[in-house]
Amino acid sequence: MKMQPTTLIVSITGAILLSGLFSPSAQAQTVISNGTATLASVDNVTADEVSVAYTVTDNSGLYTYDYIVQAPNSASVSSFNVGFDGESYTVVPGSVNGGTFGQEVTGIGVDWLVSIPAGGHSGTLSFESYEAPTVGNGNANGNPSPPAPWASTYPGGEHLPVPIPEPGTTSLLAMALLALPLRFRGHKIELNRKRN
Amino acid sequence: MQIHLKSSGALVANAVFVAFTLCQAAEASLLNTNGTSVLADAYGTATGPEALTVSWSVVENALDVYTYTYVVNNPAGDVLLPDDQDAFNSGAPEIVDTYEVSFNASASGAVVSGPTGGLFAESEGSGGLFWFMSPVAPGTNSGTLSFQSDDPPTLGNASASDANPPSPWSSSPDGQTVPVPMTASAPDSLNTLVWLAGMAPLLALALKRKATRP
Repeated sequence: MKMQPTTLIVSITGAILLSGLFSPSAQAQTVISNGTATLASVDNVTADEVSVAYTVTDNSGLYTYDYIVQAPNSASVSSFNVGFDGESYTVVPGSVNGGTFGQEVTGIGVDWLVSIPAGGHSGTLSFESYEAPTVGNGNANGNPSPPAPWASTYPGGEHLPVPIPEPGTTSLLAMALLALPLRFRGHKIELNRKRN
Repeated sequence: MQIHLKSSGALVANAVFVAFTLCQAAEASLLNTNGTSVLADAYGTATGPEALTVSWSVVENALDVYTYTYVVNNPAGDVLLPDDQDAFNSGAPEIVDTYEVSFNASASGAVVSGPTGGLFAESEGSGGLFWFMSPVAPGTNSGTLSFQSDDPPTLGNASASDANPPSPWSSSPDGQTVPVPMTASAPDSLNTLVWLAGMAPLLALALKRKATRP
């Protein structure tokens, strides 16, 4: 079977896209994001803020998201959440670890029940995903209120790395998929012209 | 008869306490009250589907034990809202999965049974009580979250959260308070007023004595 060059290019492009999606390239384990973010308190007092130390590790395309939550001296922290803004995402099933209890809520995020006394910190709260990190929201709740609850959204709050697909990447993939029928249609027109 | 300032102070304080206690005892019927409070979202919105409502009740039994119950309602139409950095998929349904009430739960008699309800319920000592729930979708509620106390109600703060804006929600500063036990370490405004009213004559007496002293 003889394949037209344009068809070949489209096929190779598709194969590359698919390989990027389903076959993570071989890489060493690398820390790609490491830092601390503040979740501001509802009373907007600096001393009442919750601090979250985070690390994202890339292990050949499988990303491990780790968070350690530090409670303020004024309150205990009982829950910690990271949000995915309702976007589709890929948390590896069974990979949510840490806290007394952890659960993923489809399209919403990951929630942990923790038991952090005032001034104390959690152990590592983690999950795995095939999505690289972008920024998203974190929330925490505890007692008493105020200073609970805490959020990225409150003035002075900061975002955390979460696996929300980048709109740029999503758009690029969508555009590539949309372009495929157009490309085939153009090829068909060219063939018809040659026949005529 | 000369009354020392110290003993007269104790006398007035005792009189105020006895009067207040008698006033409470005079109420023949047992307390049975209920209502609804609004928890405002992270942007201060206290109306419409983005705000949560908490249906509550406090019921006193013949043994003077008070049962506190809360039901967290997530209104139909509650959706995710964008923040300043990410505005993806605004309009997706918003859930809620934690709820807490603030009072000194470690005080004697403050919590004599529970808390119960939700996936997990626990005491946070002097901070209050906390519930971790299965996701409560828009148009549904948490089911009953409750506990029992020896203490009658006063008003206190509550909050709830999920992971995405407009979470979290809270009584303070834009929402409404809910009933919580009136514990010794957290006097309500009525107790404080009664105490101040009792102390006012003492203060006047002390000032008068100081003024007339040579």
